[in-house]
Amino acid sequence: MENQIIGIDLGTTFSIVSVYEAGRSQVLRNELGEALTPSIVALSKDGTTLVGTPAKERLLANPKSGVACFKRDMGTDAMYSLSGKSWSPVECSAVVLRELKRMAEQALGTTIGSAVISVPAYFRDTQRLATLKAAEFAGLKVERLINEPTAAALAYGYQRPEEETNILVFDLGGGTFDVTILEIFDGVIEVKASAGESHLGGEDYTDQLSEHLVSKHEIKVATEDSAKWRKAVNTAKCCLSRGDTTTFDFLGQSVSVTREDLDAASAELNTRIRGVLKKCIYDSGMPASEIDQVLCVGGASRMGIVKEIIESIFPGKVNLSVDPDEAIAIGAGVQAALIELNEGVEDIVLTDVSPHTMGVMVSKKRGGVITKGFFSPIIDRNTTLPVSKSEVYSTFHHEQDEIDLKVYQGESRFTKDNHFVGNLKLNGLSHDPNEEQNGGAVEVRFTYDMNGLLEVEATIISTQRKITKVFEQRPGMMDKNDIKAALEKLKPLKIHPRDALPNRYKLERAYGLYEDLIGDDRALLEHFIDRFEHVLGEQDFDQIDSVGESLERFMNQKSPAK
Amino acid sequence: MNIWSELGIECREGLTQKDLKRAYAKKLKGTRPDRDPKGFQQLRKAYECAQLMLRDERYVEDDEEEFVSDTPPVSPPSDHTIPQLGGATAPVELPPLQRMMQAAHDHLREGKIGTALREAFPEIEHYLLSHPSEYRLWSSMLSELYATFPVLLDPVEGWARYIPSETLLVGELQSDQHYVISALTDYAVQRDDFELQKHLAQIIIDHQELLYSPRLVPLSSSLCLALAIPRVTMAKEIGEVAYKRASASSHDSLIVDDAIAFSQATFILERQPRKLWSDILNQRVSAKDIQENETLNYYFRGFLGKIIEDKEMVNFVKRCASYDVIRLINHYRPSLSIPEVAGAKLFNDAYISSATPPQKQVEKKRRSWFKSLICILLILKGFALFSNISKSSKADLDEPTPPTVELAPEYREGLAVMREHSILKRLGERIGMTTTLPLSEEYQERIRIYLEKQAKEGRIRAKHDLQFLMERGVISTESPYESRYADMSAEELSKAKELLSAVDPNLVAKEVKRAKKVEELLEQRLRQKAKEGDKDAERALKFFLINRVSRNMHENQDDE
Repeated sequence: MENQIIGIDLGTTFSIVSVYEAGRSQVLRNELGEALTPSIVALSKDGTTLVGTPAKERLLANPKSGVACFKRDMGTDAMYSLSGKSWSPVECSAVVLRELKRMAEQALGTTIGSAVISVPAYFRDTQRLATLKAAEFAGLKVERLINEPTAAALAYGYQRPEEETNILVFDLGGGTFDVTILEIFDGVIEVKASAGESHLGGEDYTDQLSEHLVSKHEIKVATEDSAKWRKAVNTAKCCLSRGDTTTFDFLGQSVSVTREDLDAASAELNTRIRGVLKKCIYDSGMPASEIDQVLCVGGASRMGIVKEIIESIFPGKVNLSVDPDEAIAIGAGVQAALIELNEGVEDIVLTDVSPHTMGVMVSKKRGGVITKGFFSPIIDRNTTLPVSKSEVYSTFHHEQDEIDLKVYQGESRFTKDNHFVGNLKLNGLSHDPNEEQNGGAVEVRFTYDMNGLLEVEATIISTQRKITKVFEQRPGMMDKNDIKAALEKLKPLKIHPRDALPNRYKLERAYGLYEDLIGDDRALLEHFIDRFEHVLGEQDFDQIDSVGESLERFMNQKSPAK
Repeated sequence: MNIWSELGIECREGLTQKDLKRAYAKKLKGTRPDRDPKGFQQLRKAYECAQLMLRDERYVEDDEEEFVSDTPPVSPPSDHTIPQLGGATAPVELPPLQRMMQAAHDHLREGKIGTALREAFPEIEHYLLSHPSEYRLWSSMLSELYATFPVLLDPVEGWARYIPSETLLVGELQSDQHYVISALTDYAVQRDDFELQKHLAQIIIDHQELLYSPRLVPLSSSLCLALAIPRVTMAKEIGEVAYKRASASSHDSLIVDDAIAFSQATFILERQPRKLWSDILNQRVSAKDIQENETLNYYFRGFLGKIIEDKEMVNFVKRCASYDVIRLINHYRPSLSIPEVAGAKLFNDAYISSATPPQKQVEKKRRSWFKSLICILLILKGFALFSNISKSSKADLDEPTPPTVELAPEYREGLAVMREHSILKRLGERIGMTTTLPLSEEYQERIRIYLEKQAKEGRIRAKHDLQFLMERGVISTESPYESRYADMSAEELSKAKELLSAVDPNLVAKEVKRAKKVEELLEQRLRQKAKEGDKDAERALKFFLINRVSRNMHENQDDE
């Protein structure tokens, strides 16, 4: 097929590519018949780039020659030194994506230009942007970033669209943890709530167990043996899911591991998992008892210790019909089909939510003292996407000329505890205090698109001057044209209600009628127009409709022509 | 386009969440979030709105079921309280009006709005025409219905659109009641229902003689109604009445509502207000008088709030902006409302620049209209509060006014259960607890302490509520804790009480710290006693721990 879109699960430990064909979303395999490509990049002795299984082998031999788990550093400034060369997480991801693209092209016998890539639901704005950049480097156009648990639910739901069910997706991958609650009815797959942590996964269990064992058995691990040691511990961890004790051999030393060791090592991680589950259930507004089934995805959800947690909260509800490793990739493939408007999935609509609250930093004047650092939310977490909302902020004083709009992501009342996304400077706000209109008022509009990316637009109300910004971590990494294209794409979302056609029409008609009427009727009409203009200005969508309707009713009564 | 047409369904009785989901799913296929983001956002909004509305309705029903099942089954009233008619099992026959109201109540409860509007209410109206003595009862019963079943489903279709005929409304006023008119006024103002506002104001205008009735007719509200429409001539007419009535009585005997109405009326009439105010302001009445006399205080505040809307008043302000007045304003400054602050500013400016030529005040007419509207709405809200207080305080002072006809016990029981439930629900929200009957001892104690504290602060409603709950046996008459901790010092006890009632999430940090310290002390003491085997102390300890957990949860929520 022309312009086929592939689905990609870009995981912490391994990645998978899939495609929707013949009514099914299926995982593609490489020449060796492997579906799972380890997310590892390494340099060979002669300097060529290795990726996947070869890189994994190389890493075992020489830990300094490559890097794994770089997904956890996406969106940060981390740099890895590979045989003396400096690599960023974005570049590493790009290499993996390029490999997946090659695999797909090879398997399908066609060139591939675009993809749907899955990201943890709890990925922040900067992490998502980093993923987009990686794809750009790999020569892939990203049609959509899909949240991993949502993809998993899609993998389950796309073949049973008529089923009515509430699903909890428990996605404990190698490095990230997401919980998402969805409702499926009449072909609608609706995400109710998502919660998670971007640094909690199977690797953390391995780390904790490794530390525990090192201190318990007083083992000294040399740097060059660290990869081997980790691999051994990891195997032991997996074995513990099947039995209560296991032993492994490390450089001639026999190390025994018991279930108690794992329990002791992972107590803190388990508490965090329970916390996230609780938060998600709370946010969904659905009691735990209404959840019909639990889908477990991500390799780490296979761990016995994790299964016990799930079983204790949702006894007997774990659904085993999806493959924990492949579900996300399959779901990404389904999403690709949805974008292509493939007829196999035309009855399915997916709606997702924003995982974080987005807002700006404000200062408050309390008892004459100005205190900085408060978070003023604009878009609440778990709002259905796409969404566009605005708030009006103002300067403290008429001589204040500039506002530094700092955008934050998070849930704390104080911005210091939230995640800084970026800032936007606005000037030209000083004004004459005697003017009727407050020249210091700024309307800040947040537009959150389906990829979970944020665009901020600030408008100085008195002059209608606009400043727009799509947030990215390091300016200059993306082509200006690309940003512009992205802006073009977002455009349909942000029409001010004042400029929406029906409202515009109502106002014009009212202005006309005003000239025709006299006396009380005229005063009345004035009253209606004022209110309508007021609610339009407030962008209070509920009110706009009702007030607009009463204006219209009144006009219909009074209009001589009509 | 309303939400129902957006979703492509008709709003009808018995609509379920499932129907809603189906309709939404159907529409969604043509309004995909990625293809038509704007259309999707609209559809989504409509869907969420509709879901809420249905949930509300379900909530009402669920509630009723809940408390029916939670209260001990209302046993057939014991034999000696009910006069038996004929056979022992004969159902008690309700008086006609109660029976009809009960029928309307049942229809609404089952969601049969149409039936209620077409059958039940006309029947009631017909009956009342020949029984004018029952207007009072009807008034209180209908207002209960308004309160119990707020606008159901679609505001346009909802039963609250039921507006009794003019004859009935006048009848109500004539029998010195105004519950229904007040309820309708609130409804009309909240909904911005212009037609209804006009209708109500017209009734009041047409029957001016009623305004002279010694009982409180919602004079100020009707004045606001007329203003909000805006029907200036009408406002003037009402203002005239208000003015006459107010000037006939002495300042002291005016109640708060009338005082405000009066100060508004003087402005509307553009008649002698300056004389009156200059009386007050030119030291014929001193600042001290104003501070000490509540009525004068309201005059003054009303004046301050209104001044910003009247261009001519600005000149007047200049003349009487004396040092005394400025001091007076400063005295009130912390508690002034927004329009009042504006007025205060004018005074200040006038006082400071009494030598400099007046600044040109160019105000667009339109703007000022809008501002005054907002002010009026604000003030109206204030009225609602005031009139509640004054209503209940009046009820307190006057001898209780028993309904002319005794309510049937079943109906009375029904009303009482409803009230019980609504009080508990309100308190539950305030104190942050679940109120399922029967209440545990701890919760009873918390409610008692909360209400007692409120009553002490002058909330008459709290006093009534407490009394009511005790009468109903929802909370025991005697506090179990008082006697139990007789060995605690009085100070400790009062601190403990304070602790139990420390439910205000806005407590300043210092207070919380102090409360925590006391809490720790108490906990230590209780632990010790519990160790010594004191069962009561053990229970109390548990209570403290629960109490602390729930408060911590509150604090955590606040942090988020």
